[in-house]
Amino acid sequence: MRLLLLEDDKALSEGIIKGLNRMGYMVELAMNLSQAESALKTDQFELAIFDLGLPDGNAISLIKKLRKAGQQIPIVVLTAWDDIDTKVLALNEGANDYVVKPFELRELEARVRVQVRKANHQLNDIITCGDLSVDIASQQCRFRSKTINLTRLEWILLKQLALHAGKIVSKEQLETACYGWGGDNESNSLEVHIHHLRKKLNPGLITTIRGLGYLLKDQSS
Amino acid sequence: MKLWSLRRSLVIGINLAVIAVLAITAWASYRDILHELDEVFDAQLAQTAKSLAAFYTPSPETQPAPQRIPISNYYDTGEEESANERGPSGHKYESKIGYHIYNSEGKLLALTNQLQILPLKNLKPGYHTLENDAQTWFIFSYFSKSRGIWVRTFQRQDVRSELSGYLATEQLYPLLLMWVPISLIILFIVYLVLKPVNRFATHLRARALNNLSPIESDLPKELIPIKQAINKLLHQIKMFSEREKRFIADASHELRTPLSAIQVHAENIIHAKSLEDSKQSGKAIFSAVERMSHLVNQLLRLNRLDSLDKSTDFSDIELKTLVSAAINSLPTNRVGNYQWQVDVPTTKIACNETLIISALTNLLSNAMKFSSADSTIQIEAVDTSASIIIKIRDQGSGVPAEIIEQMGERFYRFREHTNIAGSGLGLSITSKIIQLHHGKLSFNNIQPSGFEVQIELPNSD
Repeated sequence: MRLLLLEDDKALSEGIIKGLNRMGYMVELAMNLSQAESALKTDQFELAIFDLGLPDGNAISLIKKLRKAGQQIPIVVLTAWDDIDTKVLALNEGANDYVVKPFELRELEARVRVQVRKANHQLNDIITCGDLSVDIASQQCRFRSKTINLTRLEWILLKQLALHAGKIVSKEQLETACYGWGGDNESNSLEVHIHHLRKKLNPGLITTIRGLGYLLKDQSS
Repeated sequence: MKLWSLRRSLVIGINLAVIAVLAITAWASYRDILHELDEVFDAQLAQTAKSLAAFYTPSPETQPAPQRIPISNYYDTGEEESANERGPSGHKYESKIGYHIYNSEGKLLALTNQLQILPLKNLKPGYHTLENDAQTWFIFSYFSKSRGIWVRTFQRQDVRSELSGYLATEQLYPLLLMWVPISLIILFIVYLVLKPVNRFATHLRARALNNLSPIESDLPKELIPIKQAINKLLHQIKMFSEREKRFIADASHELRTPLSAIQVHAENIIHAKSLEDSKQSGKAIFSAVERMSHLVNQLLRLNRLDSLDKSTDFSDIELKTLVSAAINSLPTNRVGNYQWQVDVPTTKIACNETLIISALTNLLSNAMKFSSADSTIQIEAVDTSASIIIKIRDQGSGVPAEIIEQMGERFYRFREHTNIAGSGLGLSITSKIIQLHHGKLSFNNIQPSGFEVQIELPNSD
């Protein structure tokens, strides 16, 4: 799952990225509004986390602009401004949630998860595809009632596929989810991780669609 | 001096005026009555004298002693509410009026039998007054040529004044009765007039503490200036409180961000997989703490400057000393990276040494921060008769014109400089210090590239 973090404070953004990476999220960083705007225009994210007070203005204006343009990405506001007026304004303009600094990463992650769950119309964080169940909240994967241990990248891949179960996920999407913009995308490393996943689970669960990407079989199919 | 309430002043003042007018009216009518009575009584004295002269037949030969006309045998002992004022022998007031008849030689022929005989001598014809035994008498003397006799009629003064007193008192009652409704009307009018004032006061009292919106209630013309003054004051308080609110919001914003960084990194340390990881987080926490303490220190300084009196003790310090002290307090390892050009005349400035050095240090450190290494930083001062102007120039990229206005606002940081460390309070502190010295701080871009800060301090000479 890939998130966009809009935050101008370096120390804070480093900490958030590190923490969210540990929790199984790929996070891209934008330091100001224009960076965030172009990132959202050119790239796909599951969710965006916006600080409000940025060097080139207030992010509420960006939220308004995005919503006006029909952008549906869930946006969680993460700011030090705790006055009711700002909260209400941000939510009215289209933010999905509002977290006030200082905060605990656990809370931020939970709120992010809630928004992603809502966007995907899930009732809880457990995605079941046949014998496979993926618990996004506790980062656990069970196959035929057995807990499977996964590496961080394997987990990110599986989560990405599970969130879009039954649909083709492109190779680029998976790559950015794993490595982000600056990551090493040696063409075959993704395939290596997919290979390991298939080995740990049922080999037939993840199908390769040549030229398009991969697909996790939905329980119905 | 404690002022009387408007209501009290109005009620008492108008009532006093009404009472004064009523009193003058009463006094004037008393005088009029007295005058009219005088006229009637005077005429009566004259007429009685003439009648007596006409009817009196003297028989001096047969009459060895003056003929005494008896008067009532009881005397006036004051007012008595009884019918015996009118006795069978006459009236008790008889002693207060009377007459004497003399022949032309002055021999007394007839007289009313008063308690004492009035010493009436050498009187000319006409009206006189006579003081006798603490009583004043009005006398009319008449000489009848045809009869060759003098007739003098007289009357005690208190008879007249008693009557006019009664009449005037009778007049006073309606006047007093008039005063009662008038004073009630006054009370009512004062109440009506002061009603908007009271309403205004109630309105003000009933205001919520945080309601700083202008007062809109309708007021009489006289109160409009007060309303305007209050509204102006409210507006100023509102501006001030908004500024403070914004400041507190900004301050908490600036403190919460590093606080969040500390929290997030602390969480990361707990979950760190490697020593390297936790070391990195530890370092991040350390720098966030450093940033916070810098910010807190700056806030405290600003606060201390805010509460500092304008009349802080100033002493005359050599400008060169100040500039070199400022350069000395910059980080030594960075000072060497720049070319310094100092051109300062020998002159003294009346200032608080510590504050001015810190202001200069701040401006010089900004010049270093925002220009590249090896560039030149210029410090130049001019001593004119009115002021001392200090200019600090760097060769950096300057600041867009529209931003210059906002420079010096608390927490304002130019967006392209967010990658450069700072709290956004340095210029606020500097500008506050210059203000304390009654000076001016201004900013300018210079061509082709660079930024100039100008400090203008009043010359102490």
